[in-house]
Amino acid sequence: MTLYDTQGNYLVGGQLLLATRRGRQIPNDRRPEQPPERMRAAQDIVSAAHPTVRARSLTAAYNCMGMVFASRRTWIDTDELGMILEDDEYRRLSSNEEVVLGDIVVYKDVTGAVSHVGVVARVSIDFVAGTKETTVLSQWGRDGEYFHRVDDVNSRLGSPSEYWTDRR
Amino acid sequence: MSTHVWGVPQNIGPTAGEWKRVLSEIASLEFDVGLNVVSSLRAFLRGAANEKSVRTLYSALVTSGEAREEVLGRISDLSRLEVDRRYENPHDTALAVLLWLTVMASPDFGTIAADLADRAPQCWYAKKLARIVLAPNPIESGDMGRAAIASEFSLTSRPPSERTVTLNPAFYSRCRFRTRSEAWPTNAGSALLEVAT
Repeated sequence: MTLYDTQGNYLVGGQLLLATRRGRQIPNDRRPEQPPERMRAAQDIVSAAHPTVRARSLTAAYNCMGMVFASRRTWIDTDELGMILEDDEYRRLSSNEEVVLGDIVVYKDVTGAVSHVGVVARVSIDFVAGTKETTVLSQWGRDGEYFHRVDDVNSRLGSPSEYWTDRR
Repeated sequence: MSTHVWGVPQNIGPTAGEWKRVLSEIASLEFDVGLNVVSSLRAFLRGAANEKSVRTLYSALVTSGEAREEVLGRISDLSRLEVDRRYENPHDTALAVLLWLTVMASPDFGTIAADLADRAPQCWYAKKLARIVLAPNPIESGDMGRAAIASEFSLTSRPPSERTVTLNPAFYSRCRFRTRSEAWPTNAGSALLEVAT
């Protein structure tokens, strides 16, 4: 196990070589896994608080950023989001633009800091009722990966604030 | 009467029964799962600061020597437990929170606590916090911004009554201590960021 990188910075599980499209290194760190029974217990607690969420996978190996930008391989701090969106040429969707599957939703906390990201997994429109429901896939910290309504997340994950896309 | 971080009066605190109860809560699975839904040390600490049990224990640490000794002993015990090396240390959350509170309430104990927590195997947040306290330079471990964590940590780790106490000169030289009267984003205003002056 690597404990220090080449600059002498301490690493828990070791940093993967990971870069933006422009070639800037994305700092990351691999977190130890959780025992399966602990992950199931976490799922039970999450499901009790959010009955409509559906687990996709139970692992602690990556966080929300790692799920979206590192193929579920590692942890990336939410502070890195701005650099990634810029270097990977994402653009923010305006309020009147359509959100489609694969777009990214950014959550912010009360201070305005990025607190969570997820991928839009489904957009269903009820024309009769005139409503639209967006389903998101995201990793909830160490507690597992879930399908959930865009606004149905743990309060510590903040609230949906922006949509971004890499569509051309 | 002087006050502490979170406005805890210096000489009034929870009873021994109360702080021993919340000490158990902090070690619980529910507490662990709830706090670990976030993705960064900063969010982890912010979440912890909003927990009633954490605030109660902090009050006890500020006002009771017995509580400080008990918590330091708990950190020592947890850091020595054998763990399954395939997985993260199941006591990581408790260790991180107890370490953080100890550093805030009693920097002298905090150094010892950080050294103990740093020895605990397979930790995540506890290890990162311990390294911030112990290392000559704030450590960027890949999942958080160095300056951000150092700043966040300093805001919550130096009670006014102990401003002259120095854990590590290099660490604190990077930490600008702000008071309420100084410029600070008003929307940042959780009690976590408020320091009595």
